[in-house]
Amino acid sequence: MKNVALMLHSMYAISVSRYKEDPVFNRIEELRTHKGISRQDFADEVGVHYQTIGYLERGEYSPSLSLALKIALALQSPIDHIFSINPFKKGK
Amino acid sequence: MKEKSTIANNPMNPFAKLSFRRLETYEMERFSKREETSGYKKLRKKGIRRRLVIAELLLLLTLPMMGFFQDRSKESPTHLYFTVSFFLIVFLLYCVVFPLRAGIRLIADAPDDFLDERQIRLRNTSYLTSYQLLAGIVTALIAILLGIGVDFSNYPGVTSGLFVSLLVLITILPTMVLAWREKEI
Repeated sequence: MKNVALMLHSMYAISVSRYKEDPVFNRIEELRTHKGISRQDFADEVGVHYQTIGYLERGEYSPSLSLALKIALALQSPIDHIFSINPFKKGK
Repeated sequence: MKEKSTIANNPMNPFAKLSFRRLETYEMERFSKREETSGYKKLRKKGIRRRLVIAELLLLLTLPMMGFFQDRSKESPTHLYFTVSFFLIVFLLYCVVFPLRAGIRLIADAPDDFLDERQIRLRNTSYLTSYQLLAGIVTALIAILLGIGVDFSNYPGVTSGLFVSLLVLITILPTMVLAWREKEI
């Protein structure tokens, strides 16, 4: 009985778990449009679906380190110039 | 999307020569060529995707329920009607499955090579949610069937309908979860 209760508790814990990542701010859209690259071309260059670029630009998805490095390479900018854990100040 | 050429053409890939792998590759490549140029875009709208999920659920529920209205005497004309309508609903179930899969860009069924990291994460969380849902559905089903104490030997249509419904549900549940949950896909 104890085991069943434990199992039910684990299932409940997993079902209510909504792990929220810390937000990672980025300037992908700004730098991409500045370079005049379309979302599709940029997606092809970094090897992701074009909708993933949309998610990244809206801040709805935080990339893995390898994807962040690929993005930095494609935008020819240092990684800390594109990504930050603090919001970017406008115009900087 | 990772480099598509690496899947089938890579000589280091031990699965490249297996036929199911080639079939999978063929299906995905055929789909990705057509996906942006055809009517698939309409299927990606959240409202349409949700309607398809509801239609699929209703069909899945109808299949075992039909068994309660089955006339078991083989001479009865309704016996034939039951058999025909049973297979018709199974056919309709699969008719809904295809637009549902297309509506989520086959993410739930696609191998890693065809997905990027965000899509892989979506697919994996949809399987986790499906497992939880399936555990709940099976537990509830067993509780109900034991609770009401119906002798199902009198209703063979119910057990066969239940079996087919569960079989379809197991295969399509991650797709249904994704289709229902994601706002943009």
